[in-house]
Order: sequence, then C-alpha cells, then structure tokens
Amino acid sequence: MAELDTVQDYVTKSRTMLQDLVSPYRFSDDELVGNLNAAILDTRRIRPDLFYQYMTTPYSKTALPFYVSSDMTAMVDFEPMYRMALVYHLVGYTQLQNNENVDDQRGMAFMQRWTQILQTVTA
Amino acid sequence: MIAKADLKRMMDNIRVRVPGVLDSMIQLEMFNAIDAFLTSSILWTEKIDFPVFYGTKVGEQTIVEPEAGRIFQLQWVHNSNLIPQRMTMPEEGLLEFVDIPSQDDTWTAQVAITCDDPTTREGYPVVPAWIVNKYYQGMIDGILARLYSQPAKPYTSDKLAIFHAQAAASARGRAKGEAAQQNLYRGQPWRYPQNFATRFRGQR
Repeated sequence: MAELDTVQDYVTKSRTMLQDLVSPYRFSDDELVGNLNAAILDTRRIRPDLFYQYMTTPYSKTALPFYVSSDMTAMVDFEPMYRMALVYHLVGYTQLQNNENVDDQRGMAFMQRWTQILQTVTA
Repeated sequence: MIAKADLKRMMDNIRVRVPGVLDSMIQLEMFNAIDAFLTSSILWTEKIDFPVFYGTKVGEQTIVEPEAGRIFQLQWVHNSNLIPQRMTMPEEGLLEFVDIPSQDDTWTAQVAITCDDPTTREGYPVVPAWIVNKYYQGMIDGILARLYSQPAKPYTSDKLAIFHAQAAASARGRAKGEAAQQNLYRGQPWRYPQNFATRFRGQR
C-alpha cells in the first residue's frame, strides 16, 4: 500500500488540488479518469523508460493502461517516485480544459511541474 | 556463476549516483555495458571438448555450446595430444573443419564468451562472479556513461557521460591487457603505442 495506488487515489488527489471537494463536483469522474489516461499517454511520450514493462519485447506485448470511471479500485502500476507527475498533468490538463479562462496560469504551472519532475536535469 | 551481492552493490552505487533512475533501466544498461566490457576485453573464456570422427571432410561443421552466455570468438582448437588444429567459426558456436581428424578423437576449442539472454529471474545478466568482483568499478563506469547519455532524463549529463565513458574504456583496456597476460604481473609490460594499431583500419 503506497500513496497513489488506485485510480480513486488519483481522482481524490486531483480534486484536492482542483479545489473541487464538494458534491456535485465541477469535474466529473469520467473527465478526471479520461485525463489520467491522457497523462499516461503524454508521459509515455517523453519518458518511455517509465513504461518499460509495457514495451514490446520478444516475450510480451502489453497495451498501455487505460481506465474508465468504473475502474476506481484498479491499481495504477506506475513508479512511485514519479506518481505526482501524473497528478500534476491530470490537474493541469483539467484546468486548461476549463473554458472560463481564469485558471490558465494555474494550469500551465501544473503542466510545467509535470515536465520538471520528469525531465529537469539535475546533474 | 553469478555474483548477486556484487551486482546488487553495483545497483546501489548507481541508484545513488543517478537520481530518478528506474531499476529496470539500470538492468537494461547493465546488460549493455557488461556485454561491451566482455566483448572488448575478451575476459571470459571456456574450453569446450567436442567429439570428432575419422572421415569428416573439410568444410563440415559441428556445434559447441558454452555452459552459460554466448560465444563470440573462437580462439584456438587442439586435439587430445594438444596439437593445434585449424577450424573457423562462420557463426557463433558453429565450428567448421579446415583440418580434418585422422582418427576418432576429442578436440578442445577455447572460445570467448559474453553475456546473453535469458538473464536471471531478477533481471541480472549471467556473468562469472570473479569478473564482477574484479572489474565492477569499470562496469559501473560503463553503466553510468550509458545512463547519463540517455536523452531527456532528469539525470542526462553530457559531461558525466563522457567522463565515465573514458573511465570505462580505460578499465576495458586494462582488463584486456590482464586477460592477455593471464593476470601475470609484468608478463608483458611493453605494448605497441596506439598509432601502431592497424586492426581497425580494414586489416583482416
């Protein structure tokens, strides 16, 4: 058991950062879980090594994980030290989808944090 | 055969030096670095006995299989009286007769070996323990160089990649020299300078 194990963990964490904790929610489960899938696809693009277990090898070919809102208890099999990056992408992407245009800057900040976690050169 | 404790020590060294790297990536590059180390240093050899039969013709072939790993070079062959016999190896592990046996006999081939799939259940390449014990620092340099040279990672670093690549190349050269001298101190202290090297210029 660790932080951010299941799809529900990601949705709950995101709702905290989106300040969307009171039902009825501003962002639906469908929307957030869909954005989690988008975060996984985008992360696969820039950090293929994080999805090593899903790469095609002579021994296996496994599709990238894909979730729907009924999969809330499903495990998100992802390296623990990079799980917050998925949350930042999920939250940032969700904020940028908001058509009121008031949270764009906040959304961009979250997307930037996602990139920083995954790619900032430390050495 | 394999030295798990030493490979785990290598993993720990690399985890500390490469922040954010995944264990699976270390193991991926560990295989590459150890393969490069073994093929260029020709450290790991094995003598394999195989039967030969009177009546075999020039150009006929036989197969030899190492205990572990993959054969990449045939070094020499001798018969049961220790007399050298000429053979070639058109493919890895496939020996072709140039000299033919004058009687039924057992010949011995010495081959150079490198690591191969499958790895161990934990994902480590299968390598003799003594090689890892003796040269693990050079292998660490090789793994670090490859990890630092990966593009767009938190640990990407051109400078460190070059630094460790040079250290790894130096370790491979030292290992090759020691293997050629069978670890004999001052066995052949003088070597031709690099500008005498011709084998990379198309010489066969």
